[in-house]
Formats: sequence, C-alpha cells, structure tokens
Amino acid sequence: MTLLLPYAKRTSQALIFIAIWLLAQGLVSHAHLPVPASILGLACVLTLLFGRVLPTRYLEAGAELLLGDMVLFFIPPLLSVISLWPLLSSQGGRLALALVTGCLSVMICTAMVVERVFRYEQSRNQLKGANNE
Amino acid sequence: MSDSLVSFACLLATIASYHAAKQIHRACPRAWLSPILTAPLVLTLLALIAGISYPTYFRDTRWLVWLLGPATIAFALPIYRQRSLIKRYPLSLVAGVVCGVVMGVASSACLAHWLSLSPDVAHSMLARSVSTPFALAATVAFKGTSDLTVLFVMITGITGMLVGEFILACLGVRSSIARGVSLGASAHGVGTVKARQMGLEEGAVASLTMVFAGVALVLLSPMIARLLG
Repeated sequence: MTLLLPYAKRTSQALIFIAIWLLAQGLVSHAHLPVPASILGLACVLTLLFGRVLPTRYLEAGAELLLGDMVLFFIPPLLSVISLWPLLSSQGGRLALALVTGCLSVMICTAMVVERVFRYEQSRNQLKGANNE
Repeated sequence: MSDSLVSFACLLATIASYHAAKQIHRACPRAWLSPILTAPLVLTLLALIAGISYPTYFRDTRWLVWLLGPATIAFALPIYRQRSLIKRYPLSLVAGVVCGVVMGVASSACLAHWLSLSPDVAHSMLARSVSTPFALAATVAFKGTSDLTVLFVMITGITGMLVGEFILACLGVRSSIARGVSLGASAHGVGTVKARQMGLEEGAVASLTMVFAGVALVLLSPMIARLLG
C-alpha cells in the first residue's frame, strides 16, 4: 500500500487539473468566451497560486505526472501521417525544407536578440543592486 | 476482431511503446533514441503492417491528446516556481517571446509562399512554433487542419531538439537565459526537454518562453489571421 501511495497522490492531483480543465471548458462554451479553455484554466491556477489560496503541495505531484509524460500525449497525432501521406508526399521535400528552415530562423533570431537584451538587463540589474547598497 | 477492440489495443500499444521507448532512452541517452522519435516510428510501422486506418487508431488514443488540456494548465506550477526569474529578467523574456512569435509566423508564411506549398498545408504551418495545445487553439483562427498542425509542430520541435545545442554553440550564445528562450521559442515542449538537459535555468526559461509564446499566439491569432488573410 505504501508503495502505491505516490501513484495515488500523483493521480488524484492530476485529477484536480482535469477537473479544472472540464470546468474551464464548460465555462468557455456556456459564456462563449473568446479564450481557449486551457489558457483560462492556466490563468485561474496562476491566480490561485500567486494569491496563496492554493498551496503548491496540492498540485506539485499532479503537474509532475502530466508534464513529465507529456510526450505520450503528442504521439497519437503523429500517426496521422498514415492518412495524410498522399497529401504530403507530393510536397514532402519542400515541406521538410520549410519546417527545418523555419525552426532554425526562429532559434537563431531569438538567441541573438535575447543574448543582447540579456546583457543589457544584467548590467542594469547590477547597477540597481549597486545603488541599493 | 471488432473495430472497437482494435482501437483499444491501439491505445494500449501506444502507452506500452512509449514506456518501452522511455526505458531504452534512459539506458542509452542518445538524441535519436528519444521516445518522441522511436515510439511513433514503431507504432506507424505496426499500424501499416496490421492495416489499421488512422480513424481506428485515433478513436481511443484521442484521450491521450485530450490530456494536453490539463497538461497545459499544469504549466502554472513551473511558472509559479520560476517567478523570481520573471522578476529579474522581464525584458529578456518579453524580447524572446515577441521575437519567437513574430519570426515563427513570418518564417512560416514566407517559406510556404516561396516554396509554393498547398494552402491547407500553409495555413496549418503558421502555428507550428508553439506547443501543441496552444497551436491547436491558434490554428482554428488560421483555418489550418489540426492533424497537419500537430504533425508540423512535432517535426519543428524534433528539429530544434536535434540541432539546438549545436546551433547555439556555433552562435557563441553563452547565457543560460538566451539559450533557454531560444529553445523554448523555436522548439516549444520538445526543446524544453533539451533545455532541461543543458541546465536547470535553461529548462525553466524555456518552459516560461514556451507558455508565454503559446498564450501570445493564441490571443493574437485572430488579428494575425486578418493581417495575412
């Protein structure tokens, strides 16, 4: 039983997230809100955490379960390649080129920009720290 | 065997192959052995050999995809835990998110146009650089197909994971903030896994960037769609 306890805790805490997700979905569809349910739920939980209404220990294990194995949730859509193949095969090479180049351009561009902004921000933080002393 | 039984077997096979792939990757941690590559590959081969159609496969496994909703909400925890990082480097994070979202959409739109990809493919590509749950929400506004979008999101993430460390080293990017932001913005959840391997701060920054970029893209998607439309 003690062996099963961590699983029970993780699963029951994951159920909290599922309950919040269902509530958010209900709210979005009933009130015709323009935000996706996942973002509404995320905002709600963040508010509860920052407001110290909900201590992190009630959610930690559940979040670990859901985030730690998130890769599993990505797998089923990947198999859509079976039915999408006729559509994709004719432009497969160009498509791969577009996806790889796109990913690289985002990666290189953000890395260069953030590296510079970070250096500026770091020196500003140090200046602020020095002034406070 | 009836169709519903086949669907249920597919669900079990998916979970089993994921766990097997995870064990293999743990024993032999190579990038090309990541569960995100090996598990779908094995499952696709199995489905092709057994002659299982995608709708049959997806009937029960869609519950796994459904769990991406609660998983997105669970990102509240890492964000809350890294709140001091947000306080210390707000400008870097904002710059990374803005740059990531703009470059993600712009590069997709331009490349799809230059390479003359078909319209449904081009529309589904716009949301490709953010995490799946956000991409699925955003692609509705872009009139993309959810299957194609998820496929593109995953290929993007896997690309970023495989080449990320090499590219960042070539660029001489040394700060953990820039490395994390770059991986989170370009390769979302899969990149975050890579970033976490590079360092704790990289991982935290990558997950923050991924969530913020995802939220930003979803909220901006109706506007972007009108702009491009």
